[in-house]
Amino acid sequence: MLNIYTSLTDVMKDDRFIKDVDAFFGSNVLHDDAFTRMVLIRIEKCTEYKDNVFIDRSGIGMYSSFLSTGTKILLSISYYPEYIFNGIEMGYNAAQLLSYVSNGSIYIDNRDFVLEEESSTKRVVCVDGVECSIEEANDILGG
Amino acid sequence: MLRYSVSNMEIEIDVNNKIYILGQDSSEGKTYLYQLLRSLQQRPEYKNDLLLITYNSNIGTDVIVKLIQEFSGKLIMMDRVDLYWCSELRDCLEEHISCPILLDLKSNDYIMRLSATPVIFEWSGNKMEVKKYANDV
Repeated sequence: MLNIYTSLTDVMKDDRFIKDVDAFFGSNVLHDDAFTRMVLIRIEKCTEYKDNVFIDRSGIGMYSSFLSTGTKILLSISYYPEYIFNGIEMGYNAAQLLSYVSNGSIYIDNRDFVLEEESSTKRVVCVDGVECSIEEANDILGG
Repeated sequence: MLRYSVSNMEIEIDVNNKIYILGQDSSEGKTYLYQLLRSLQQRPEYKNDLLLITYNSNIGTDVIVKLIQEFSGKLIMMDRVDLYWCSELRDCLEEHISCPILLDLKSNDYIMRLSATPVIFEWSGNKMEVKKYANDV
């Protein structure tokens, strides 16, 4: 389940909190899975990747350290569910894809994004310890 | 209007001496613009024109504030500002508007505490443009 935290004061006290996701991610290997593919296509307009290299929207091969911070945050949450990642740098287009993370944790403040809902499945997320539907989460988060 | 040419890219920055917030989607090219300006800064003729700051966990906000206060060039761009944000930085930026200041700042909470204007950020092919809205005088 995706855990969303909205209090910076609380997560700052947690040893699992990763403040600088860009530095944490480095040149991480990109997993060959459906979530990674979806994020790279939707955010980076990337159609091909392997190991830690992806082809960017201009057709240029780049190391994964050059991915946008929003993409790095989404992938880090999915790859390392044992940590809580700082989502403050996520753009709207990345934040709305959070609902596709099957297991992981993020801190994000209130902002004008709407978590996307898959039509085929009714996902449950956890906002500040309270389990809720995507629709309810959007109400809580102010989207 | 500031015009630069670097790494086969044309950059046009047509804004006022104000604080601007760049677009709030990921992967629009903000960090790419930052990197282009950083490579431009390596040239001696642009060395003192640009102040480029990106988050680095080894540098405290006090150093950043001092850099901004002492800067007298043509453009300030700050990438990943959310991670540096504090009231001292906000005050420093608002007091130092002698040139355009471009911020990659996402948090609505922080933006609301700053007198800043959104800016149009576009790039196509080998041209990147930062433009003010028509009613931004």
